[in-house]
Amino acid sequence: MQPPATPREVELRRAEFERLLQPLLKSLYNTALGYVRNPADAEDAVQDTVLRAYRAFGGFQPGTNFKAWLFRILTNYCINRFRRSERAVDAIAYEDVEREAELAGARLLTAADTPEPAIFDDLLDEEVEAAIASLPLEFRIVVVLSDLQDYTYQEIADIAQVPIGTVRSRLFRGRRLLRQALEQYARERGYLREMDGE
Amino acid sequence: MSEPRSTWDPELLSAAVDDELTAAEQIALSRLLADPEVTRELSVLHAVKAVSRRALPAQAVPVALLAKVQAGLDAIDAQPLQEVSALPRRAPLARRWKPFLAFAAAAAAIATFVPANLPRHGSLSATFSASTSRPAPPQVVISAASLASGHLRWRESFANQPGRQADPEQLAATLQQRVGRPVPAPNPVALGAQVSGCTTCPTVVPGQVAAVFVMQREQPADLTLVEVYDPQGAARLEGFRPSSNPAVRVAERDGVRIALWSEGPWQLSLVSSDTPLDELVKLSQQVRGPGGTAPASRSKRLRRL
Repeated sequence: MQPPATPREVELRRAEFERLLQPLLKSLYNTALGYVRNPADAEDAVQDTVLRAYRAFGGFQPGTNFKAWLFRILTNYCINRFRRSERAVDAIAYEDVEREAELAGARLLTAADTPEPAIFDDLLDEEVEAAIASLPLEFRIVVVLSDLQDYTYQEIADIAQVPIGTVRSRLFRGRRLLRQALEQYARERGYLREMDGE
Repeated sequence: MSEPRSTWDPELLSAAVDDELTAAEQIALSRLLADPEVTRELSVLHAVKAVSRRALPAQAVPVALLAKVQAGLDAIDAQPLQEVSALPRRAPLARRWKPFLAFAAAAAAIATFVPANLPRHGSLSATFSASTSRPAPPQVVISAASLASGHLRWRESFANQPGRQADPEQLAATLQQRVGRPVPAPNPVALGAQVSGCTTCPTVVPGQVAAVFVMQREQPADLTLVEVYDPQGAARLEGFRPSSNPAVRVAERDGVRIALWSEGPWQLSLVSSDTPLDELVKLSQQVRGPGGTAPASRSKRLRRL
């Protein structure tokens, strides 16, 4: 799509952009909420994303995946905006995650590793929300896109600009971390201790 | 703690939750599911996914966000249509700088054309339109000059907001900054008209077309302007077409055009963007007459219109 040259073309560009954006805006906002948790940050992320996309819309190729393109902008924004501040906090934890994940492929399953699924049902939404927010951003992105927004692995790969294998790996690791965090909440509430004693 | 019962690829179960298994993996999983621990593990993964979805239900987009987005889009639309980024990367340096230099010359011309004793008007309330029936070629870059000169801010601030009044002091200060020397008694109408010229910049072909307007107007009122002349003499005037309007007079020399448009109480001049300043002044005087007024015979004719 060429940059518009006349006001009429500007109108057409705007109309086309809004036509493509409208059905995605809610999902975009909720994805941002999943990424950053704070509504004000999510609003900033969405606003910045939409305006960046509109500015670059002249370079967008009609017929290509607008949704992936838009969510890629959002994802890159959040990575650039929030990862630096997170690294200071999560640097050690992230290294642990990497090490743990390397071992996970050869890990042996034990009964104690697998709690009853029902223990999660009684957790408060705030606890689950906090557990998601505690994930390192790279893992949180794929978890949000997959579990909350129902994107396919291919779509997530397009958005995050990583191979599908990386998506799959990050999803596994992210869920593992999420599960550990949820189990921690469950222990604090006494659910998991009861099961462990079985 | 129980003894280990089996080994398996944990990513397989994670992908199974998302229904993203290949055919071979589905077969492998079906075998694994004979193990109750694997079945249970899979249930846990489903539960983790379900509880995440429950905890973060879809929220409606805040109205305030929608408003901010709309305002942001409007602001972008108000910017020059062709921006610096649209410049061909390998364009010759002189070509890329030409719009900037051309604008400086035009701004200087304005400072010359605006007489010091023009009546002051408190404000200009204008509605601008930059539409054109002919799309400009992609290499149009004059708006880069607008962007670099600070006119973009002007355009954003009022030229695209019908009815909003220009701030003559701000315009004068900015123009003075661009010209590099004091501007004769700032006339808000003339300066406002110059800004309206900026709205037409996207249609200007560098080095070919007059770029700036000098205009006087007795009474502030809405007006819908303006496009510019191209080298073939065709005017791109939205709402006013010189070819059918005898009020417009055009002087021409070597492809340079200066138009004096006088209809009722107001006048419009166009100056070429790549003409030496002293040449512009001479041409201006030919059209306007010495002292900045139109020749008498022409003035009489214009008054009849």
